[in-house]
Amino acid sequence: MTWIGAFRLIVTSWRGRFGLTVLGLAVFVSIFGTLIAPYDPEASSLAVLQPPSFDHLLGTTENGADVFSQLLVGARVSVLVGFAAAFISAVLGSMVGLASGYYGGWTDRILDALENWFLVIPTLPLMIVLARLLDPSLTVLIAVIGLTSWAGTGRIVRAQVLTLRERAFVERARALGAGDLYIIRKHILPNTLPLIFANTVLIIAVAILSEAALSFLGLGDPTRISWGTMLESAFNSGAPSAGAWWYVIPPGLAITMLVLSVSLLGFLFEEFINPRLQKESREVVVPEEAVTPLTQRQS
Amino acid sequence: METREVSVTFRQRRRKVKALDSVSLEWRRGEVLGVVGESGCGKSTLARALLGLQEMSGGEVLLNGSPATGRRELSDLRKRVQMIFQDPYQTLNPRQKVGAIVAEPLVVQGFGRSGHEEKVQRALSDVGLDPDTYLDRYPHQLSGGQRQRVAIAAALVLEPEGLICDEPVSMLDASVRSQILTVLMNLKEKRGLSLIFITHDLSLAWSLCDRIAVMYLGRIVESGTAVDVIEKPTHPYTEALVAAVPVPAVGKGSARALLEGELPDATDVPKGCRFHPRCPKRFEPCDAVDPSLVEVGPHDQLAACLLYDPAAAEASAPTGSVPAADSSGSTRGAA
Amino acid sequence: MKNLLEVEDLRVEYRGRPIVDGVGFSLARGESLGLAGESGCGKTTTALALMKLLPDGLSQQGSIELRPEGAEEPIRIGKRTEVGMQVVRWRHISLVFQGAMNSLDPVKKVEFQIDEVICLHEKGVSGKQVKERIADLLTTVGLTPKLGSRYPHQLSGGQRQRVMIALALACRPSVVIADEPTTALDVVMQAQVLELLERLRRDLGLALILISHDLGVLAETCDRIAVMYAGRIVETGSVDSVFSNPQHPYTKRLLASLPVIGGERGLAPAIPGGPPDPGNPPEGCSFHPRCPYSTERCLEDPALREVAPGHQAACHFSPWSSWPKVEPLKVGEGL
Repeated sequence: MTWIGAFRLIVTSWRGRFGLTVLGLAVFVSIFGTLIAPYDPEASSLAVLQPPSFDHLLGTTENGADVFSQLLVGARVSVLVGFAAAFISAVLGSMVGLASGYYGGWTDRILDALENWFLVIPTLPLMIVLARLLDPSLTVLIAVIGLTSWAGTGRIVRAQVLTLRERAFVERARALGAGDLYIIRKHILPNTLPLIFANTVLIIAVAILSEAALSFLGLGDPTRISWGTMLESAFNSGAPSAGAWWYVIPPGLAITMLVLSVSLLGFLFEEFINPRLQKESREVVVPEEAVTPLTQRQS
Repeated sequence: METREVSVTFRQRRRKVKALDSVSLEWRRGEVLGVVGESGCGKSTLARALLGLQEMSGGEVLLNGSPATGRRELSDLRKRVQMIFQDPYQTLNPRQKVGAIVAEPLVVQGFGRSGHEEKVQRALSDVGLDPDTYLDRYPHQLSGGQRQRVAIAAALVLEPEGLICDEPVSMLDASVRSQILTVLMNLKEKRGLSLIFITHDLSLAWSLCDRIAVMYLGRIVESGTAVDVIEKPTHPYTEALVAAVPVPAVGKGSARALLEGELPDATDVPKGCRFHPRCPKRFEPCDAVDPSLVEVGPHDQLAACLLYDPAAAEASAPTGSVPAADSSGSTRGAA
Repeated sequence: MKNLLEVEDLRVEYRGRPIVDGVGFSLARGESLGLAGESGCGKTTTALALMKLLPDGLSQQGSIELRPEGAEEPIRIGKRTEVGMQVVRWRHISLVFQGAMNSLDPVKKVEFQIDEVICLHEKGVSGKQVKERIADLLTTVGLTPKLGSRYPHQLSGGQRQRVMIALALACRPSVVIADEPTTALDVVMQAQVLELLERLRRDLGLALILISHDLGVLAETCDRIAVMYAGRIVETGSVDSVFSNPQHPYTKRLLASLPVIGGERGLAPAIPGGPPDPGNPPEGCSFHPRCPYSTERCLEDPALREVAPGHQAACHFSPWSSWPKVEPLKVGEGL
């Protein structure tokens, strides 16, 4: 699966186009948000909880700060945490999956037990506990989310490694005297990357939601604005009952749209990857007439 | 190369499978050796054992007379003997370009970068693939026959002395098979290679091999020159195999001695001669004595059958108590 | 008396590309026809088209007429709808799929699966009758009836293949199509299954269409043979006639490239190139790029025509009374 192939895949489906557009927009805003924002997001004013107006496109907060500016600036945290945590999760999961799938034996059993533990524990309570124990900051947030979501990737990678390990091209490499690390690096990993990629995109969605959840519960970084903290402030200041929909809906909608766009992309990749994994790039267009592999021969 | 009494035992869910049971084989320099048998007979395991890829539970493998154990010897072995695998669709890493695939042995074995390009190009042209066209292609852009050629080129690049081909053409189309076989045989001439063809296809063995070893359930049951073994088979299994091969020529419906029954499960090898339950020529001692290879004809033709080993057969004369066969060879025991 | 099955100008297309390009043949009652060819030639597609079982995305055209015993009107399969086909399939014509031995439902006992098939096609059969028929069927295919109470995984590959044949016979059709029935079997088991099919044909008066890439298998079992290449029939005739006197270069070159036990040893001349891409077929004769005898004439499409009694070939230069000698190609010389 090449980059060009991936691009073409995205551009030709509506899911891909929608997902890429929204994601692109979010990334753009997260980078340039602070420059575009009309107001300093933390600047308070006397215009408290004002509905949207020409001055304040999305109204104001309970401190008189501009909601729209907050939305733009808050994008950075959501996107950053989402991507960074997913990255950590991918790296951890892949390493564990590779090791346990390739080496088998006791390595597999121990790592598998560890994986199971992480899979079984309810992630949100775990995250809450960890966040409470440590001083709240972005790094902690990223670490906590990353540490609790790697197990799914680990499982998938392990399964794929198990199949790859027995493939003829791996056996050929062994027959040449290639060492384990070489084989993992050159043969196993490249063939697992598409899978890891597709899976990680979905983890990004989970990470974004997790950040929002944690921030909403007050466990986020208090010095930063994120969509989650906006929701937290909104609820704490009684905005919903005051009817200040401009304060609640925009961050909620933003989170939803971002998660949706990432999920759509993730599903798109996954759908593409899966049949190819099974078909092994054989063009099966017409009823397969090839000779039956001898490994299936039976007496 | 040589194997002496090589045994390989697998554990399969608490049951033991003796994939190879005291197999002794000679692979002479410059010769094309055919290892023939049905699936499960152990021929692929034998190939892996020859390459040092298979843990053995007994016996030894020799290269040029000396045992191939120990890191240095194994490394040497891998430079001298290479293998071609059966499935051209699985034998190449889909993420690697042809150039990288063929160069890989050089990389793994630590040869200096400078010589790579020339060796890769030579290997590719020796298999009939134009380097300029194929170096940058990915496997999915190639047909089955082309992929197999790439695999052969990759095996050639270290300039081995011997090539073990495990069912090299069974997954290819009929019209492509002879192409690959031509490539292999041309290479044998050009580079002075010794070849082993592992195959279930007796016709292939007939046409290209100098010598053949017929395997059944982990044992060699007959060996000799290709012509002798196929034209004058002595072991009943070989006879049945030869008779069962369909011939694309006129004169159908030739009377054939069909074997009864089916290949037994490898975990449940019959006692005595492992072939006896299906053997049309079985007689009294066959269910008790496990025959070893004895000479049955000129040119070193050997067969493991009590029909040709009266001494062993008599050793368990029906009038006395029949000694139980032990799994490592024939039994000599007083009645 | 009219033939049991007449196929005329059968065409199957996928996205505008022809997979089967005007195939026509006839099958007499009790006759066995072999359909030979390599992967991609369209033989499996033809079989599926006869049963109107093509996957989505493939469209078929052409006339397929079946005249079962005692039927007034022929069954025009070509014109039947899906609902109309449901009474034809299995009752009049059935198919043993490729790789069929893996098509059994793993969670149902064998007898249940045969039961299902019978009850699906014949309403009002009593439970007792069905049981009898199942036992009968299993015996007919050479299995003991008590194997019916087993699950598929408890049977060996050969036994499962026989169950698939039993399933195909369950509703007493007049035509059975067997698609590569022996490909995944060992040579010995293959011979047993072929012998079974032959016996069934004789005893039950079945007409058989046997599809295989293995010319030897077809030579041994069939009365007539049709050789397919790139979606068309390039040669057809009695097995004796085609094998002793091939009239199409593809058939001839293919036969020449196959090693035959008892025949000449050594390398056989290979056919260069590979099967054509359906999306980009060669101009004129689809085999000409690979044909050692081709000339400019071959850019014109040759029609299938009679070149000897009962023997047809699609080549401008047939009938061939003798074939010019073809030197084996070497690697690097167009191979």
